[in-house]
Amino acid sequence: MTLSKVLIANRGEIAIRIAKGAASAGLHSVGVYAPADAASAHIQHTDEAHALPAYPQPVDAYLDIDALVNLARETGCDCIHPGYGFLSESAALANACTAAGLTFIGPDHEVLSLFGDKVAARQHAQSLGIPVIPGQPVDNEAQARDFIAEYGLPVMIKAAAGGGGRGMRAVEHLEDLPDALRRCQSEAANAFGNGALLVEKLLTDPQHIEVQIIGDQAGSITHLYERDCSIQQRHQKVVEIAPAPQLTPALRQQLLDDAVKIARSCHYHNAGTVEFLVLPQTNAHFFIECNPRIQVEHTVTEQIMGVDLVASQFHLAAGVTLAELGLLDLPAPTGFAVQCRVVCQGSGTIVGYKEPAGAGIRVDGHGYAGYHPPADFDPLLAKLICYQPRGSYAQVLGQADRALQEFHIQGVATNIHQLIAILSDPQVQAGTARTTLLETLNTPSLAAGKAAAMLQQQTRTLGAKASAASPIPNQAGGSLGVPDGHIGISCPMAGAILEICAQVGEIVQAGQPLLVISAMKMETSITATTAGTLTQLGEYEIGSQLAAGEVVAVVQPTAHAEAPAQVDPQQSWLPTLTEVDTLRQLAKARLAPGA
Amino acid sequence: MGDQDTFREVGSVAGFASYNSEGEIDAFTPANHVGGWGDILGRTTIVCADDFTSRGGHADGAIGAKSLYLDRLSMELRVPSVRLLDGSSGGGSVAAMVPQQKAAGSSEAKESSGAITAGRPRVAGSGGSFLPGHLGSNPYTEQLHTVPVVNMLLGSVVGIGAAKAVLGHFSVMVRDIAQLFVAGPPVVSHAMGYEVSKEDLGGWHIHCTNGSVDNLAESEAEAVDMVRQFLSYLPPSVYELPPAADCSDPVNRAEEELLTIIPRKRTSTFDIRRAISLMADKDSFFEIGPLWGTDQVTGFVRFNGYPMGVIASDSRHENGGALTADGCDKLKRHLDLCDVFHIPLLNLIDNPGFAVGIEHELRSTIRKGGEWMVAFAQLNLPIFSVLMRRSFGVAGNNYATPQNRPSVRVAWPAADVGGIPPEGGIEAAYKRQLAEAEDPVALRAELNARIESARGPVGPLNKFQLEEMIDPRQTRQLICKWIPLAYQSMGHADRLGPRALQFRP
Repeated sequence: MTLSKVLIANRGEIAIRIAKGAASAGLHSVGVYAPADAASAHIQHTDEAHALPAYPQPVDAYLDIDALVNLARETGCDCIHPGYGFLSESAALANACTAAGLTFIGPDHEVLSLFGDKVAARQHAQSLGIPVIPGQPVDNEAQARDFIAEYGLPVMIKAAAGGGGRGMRAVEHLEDLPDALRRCQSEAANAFGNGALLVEKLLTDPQHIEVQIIGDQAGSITHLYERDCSIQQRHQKVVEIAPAPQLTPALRQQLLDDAVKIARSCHYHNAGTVEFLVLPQTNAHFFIECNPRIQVEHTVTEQIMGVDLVASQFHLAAGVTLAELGLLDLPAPTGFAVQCRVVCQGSGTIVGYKEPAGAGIRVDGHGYAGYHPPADFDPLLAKLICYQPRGSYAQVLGQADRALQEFHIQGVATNIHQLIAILSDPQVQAGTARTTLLETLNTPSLAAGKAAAMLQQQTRTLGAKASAASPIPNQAGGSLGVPDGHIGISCPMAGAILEICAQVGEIVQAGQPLLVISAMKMETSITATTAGTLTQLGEYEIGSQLAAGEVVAVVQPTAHAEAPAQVDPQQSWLPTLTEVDTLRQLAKARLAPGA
Repeated sequence: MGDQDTFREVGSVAGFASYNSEGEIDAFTPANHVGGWGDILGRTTIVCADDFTSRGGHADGAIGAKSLYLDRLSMELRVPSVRLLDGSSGGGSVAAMVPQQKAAGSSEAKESSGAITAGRPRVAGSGGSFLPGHLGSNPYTEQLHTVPVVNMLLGSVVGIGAAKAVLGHFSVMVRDIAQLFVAGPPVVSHAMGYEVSKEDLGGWHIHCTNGSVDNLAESEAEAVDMVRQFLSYLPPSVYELPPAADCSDPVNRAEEELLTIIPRKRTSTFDIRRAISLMADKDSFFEIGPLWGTDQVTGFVRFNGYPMGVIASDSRHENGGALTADGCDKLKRHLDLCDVFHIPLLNLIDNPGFAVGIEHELRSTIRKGGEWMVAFAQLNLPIFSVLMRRSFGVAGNNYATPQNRPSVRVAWPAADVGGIPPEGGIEAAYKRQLAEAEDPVALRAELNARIESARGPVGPLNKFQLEEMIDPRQTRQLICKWIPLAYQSMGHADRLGPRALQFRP
């Protein structure tokens, strides 16, 4: 069987990713969009694009199985790729595809049904001897209380159907239980149309490790190593790393084996992920769930393994085997990849947008200048992926930090500053982050980032005098240290050095230029604010970039500051004044008595 | 804030009292809105404050008539009004909708009547939905074009408090203490699905940079100083002229630095604030909105003791002082403020045009520019314009000639005027010649040299497109000489009083 044209039943960055994967697998693509979502960039990346029916909730358009299947047939598609979220784990869509003679890019609907039901999935894992977290279905508060009596607090209440952190609540105190049950139930009913709940023992400070698996229709299954997705905020993954930087070889092998075992047991084909919680202190691991779809963080696996997972999904769905794709027995990865999820925090129109670029940097995103991300959809704007095929974990973190600094998004608040703070956390840098990290990490909020930007603007506009009084500590990178009794001279605006006019050790006068910088074709002299000895000057070259507010020179004032040097008449406007005065004299002479 | 011992409270026992069966006072909570009048700089001023400690400043702890009375009293007395905002400033709380829970065994079946028990404000209200007693916004509108209204943000300011905060002529918030938002973090969490702190949601870094709040103070004491200084430039109401202060600074003080403050090199920037301070009465420059629309500078100064508004562009801004959408908004707000209160304008011109590029087109800079142009044309004020340097493009030329009626304008020798800056214009005007030239670099240099030799104020002076050039050092002297005349003409009956356009905050 060959596949020639796919309908992508998704939006945003993953729809773009799938369109690219389809193209590289030799397929044409059809994009779809909710009418309220017509500005989403994904429809610029498919070969054609069609509107879905309008719904009061735009999300519902992407959940309309009938419309999607009909559209796929009308446009001559032979398969549907569901992406992640929306209908990605919908057995109903898989069935509808089969009924319509379309290929569903993913595992069989039996597998979707099995893993879509968390209770069934748990039982299945248990039956294979894979450890699971103590837990059980719960219909009422009394059952939950019995469970707590046996296993103790804390516990996690979660929706039996679903994922993505919705319908999930931790209960640490017994009195919070009724409210947690009630809210999870209503969230689960709203989000997944199924209010059934589970109660589970909540592990203390676990790591979240997941294994990418991939299988063909001939029954071959393999893994593509693991990802560490421990850095989460409210059960939403924020930063993902592949492979897990701190995992004992024995435990890694155990996880890989168990993942393959569970996949093989249900004749899994296509791409999927088996998720575990790991307690590094005891080397214990627990199966939590299996996601039978492409995941947001598939990118890091692609980068370390050198595999195009989305293109592979199409090949596998067409019946190509893993052996034919060369995916069996791949060598273990030698480098690292990290993904940071950049999300919008609030609404607005993006007025400035520039993605970082360069070696080892990949951005899967859908932002552009002029885009107003609709509030109706997931706030994920872009995924920044940095990778080093042969580098160290520390190197890849540094690379990600620099790339985040370079990511320019204006007009909409994002979490970029939080991501930068997360990457600098010692636990993250050690590779030992636990899922509870962000509850305790005091991330400099958006405000601190904004404040830093503000400081720059303030120093830019108010000049050196105000920046000296500026109450926020100077955050500009290359600032010089200013000893007591000395005076630091800061750069009033960001710009490039055009001229270096003074040397360390030189006696300078107040107002004497030390550096000249250029920005927006305008030149600004950075002058000594007081007379004295220039004790420090940054080690700059012509063209060096300075940040606003950066202290670029230090002067030790002389005890008795002298009067400013006399002005060079050539530097003043006297010639022009003289010229006009000459004209005035001529006019006067013409009108003088007797003239 | 007030002058020593001048405050008199109004409604000092308005509040919630309860009595025991003997008729003795059981408990008493004063209404959470305190007000009265006192003197600021020797002039009567209405002052109101929210008491956050009682029901977060909500309406259910307030006696609504009290704050309304004081706002209206300021109009009757024709004196300034200062609000100290903290909390919702008489806004609603859903707690007032919830029927009061009856204790077990309570015999009465009916819901709470809203009666006060034990001296506490009614928390349970009368139960059920209610339409807030909003009187329409006319009282605010009336107040804004009658008397100066100043808002101090001294805590989390939300709901109707947030609206009050922006319905004024000047506002100041205190760093780390004050936040401003339409609705606070719990409502945002519920509606938008994300958690955010008060500071992240509405701290100074947001609202002092978007123009919702004019100034940032480091402390409550500094905020008070700013309010006193702001009011010192304004008349008590639109029916009077701004008050002139004693001036000890010599009117003929000529600062040498003004001759060189603008560098000869045309592409150099200079410190506009320094230039303003050198010209104006010593220490009289008060900047308004320094953290937003930062391409432009607005504020008040005094010359020979007389208050003046001042506007200018900042060549040190990252886009060289080109007028942005925010800059237009800031100028418009300041021009309207000066117009409403009859404060003559010092118009300092060094503007390269509207800001260009995608970012600025997206923000509808040109539409904001149109609003600024109309606001400028509508001024019924004496204007003293100083063409310090650049006047290019629509924005620069509107800066230089905002109105078609004559006003006093002088040029400095650095004046550099035109439709567009010659540097960019050469490429457009000589495109063909440059393309066909054997040595385009040499041709460009030659064209530049020819244009440079003809560039400057002398041509426009000869053509009487510019009226006079002056020595920059004489600027102060000229303005000081002119300002009493400006005040005299401003005081005529046809100019004094409320402005037909009213005031949009």
